Amino acid sequence: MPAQKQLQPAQLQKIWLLSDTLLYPEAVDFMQRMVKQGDPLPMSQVNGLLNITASNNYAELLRFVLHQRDRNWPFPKMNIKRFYTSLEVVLGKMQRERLRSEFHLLQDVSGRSTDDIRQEIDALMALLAREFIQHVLAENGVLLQQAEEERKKPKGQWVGGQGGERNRQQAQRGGSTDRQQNRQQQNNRRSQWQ
Amino acid sequence: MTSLENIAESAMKSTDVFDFIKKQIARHDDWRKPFKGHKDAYQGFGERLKTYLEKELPPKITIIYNSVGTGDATDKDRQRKEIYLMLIRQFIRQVVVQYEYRANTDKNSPEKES
Repeated sequence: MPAQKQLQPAQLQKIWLLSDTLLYPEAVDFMQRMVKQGDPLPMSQVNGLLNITASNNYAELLRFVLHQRDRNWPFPKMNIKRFYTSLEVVLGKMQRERLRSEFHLLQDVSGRSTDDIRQEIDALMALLAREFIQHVLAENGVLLQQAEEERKKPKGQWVGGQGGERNRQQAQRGGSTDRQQNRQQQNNRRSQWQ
Repeated sequence: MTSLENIAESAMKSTDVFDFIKKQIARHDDWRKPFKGHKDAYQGFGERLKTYLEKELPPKITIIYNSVGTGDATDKDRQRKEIYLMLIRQFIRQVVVQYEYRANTDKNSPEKES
């Protein structure tokens, strides 16, 4: 495996700044959208994804994301497929468009070989993806805990804590409680058939 | 609390602190326990801390930047980021000091002893 390209301190500074100002709110939004369509990511997936991002190897990370996306997930785990499908879209767009034209992270030096540029893109993407995924997984943790609290809650009872506040906000945004009730009804129907 | 202070002191980015707070909210009941009798009683310690750092602290960055910033527009974002991180560190230091003070005084209070 070729050695990881060393990034310039200015590039690292810029990535940290982007992480704070752009990637964090985008990651929060990404995860909130995912949860509107289904359950949060289970801990087994969180751990796997964290391990891969920690390796700082973008090619390996992308291979993992594509593998998880293309797996034949059973119906109750389709949220995992949706998560990786959306994550691949976000990372792909970051690499193809945003890295160069929006983030201006690639060093503009003439006479560089294609291989050199590709290595730099990989190193930049490994860091950007790590930042984004770490923010996504932190948000997922809160949402996962909230979902567990919801499951424990007897029907019709309000649960305090931040879960309660989030539920209230989601209900105001529209229909989350209805969706949860629908899901509960579906589960009840399913358990009747089992 | 010690971990919170350590994270704040060593973080390179404000979002490292936010991610840590979220992880604590997800893992520990104490970080989620609502404050009885408070106007935002539904919010636990973690969520209140996160809301304060994310929403209430940022307006102060502009005030500080306007009084001590170099005025160099190309470096504005980086300077604001530095100020934000320093404010977060300072605030968390004070929270931890207050927590330790209250935890020990409550433990030694005559009501608890009797």
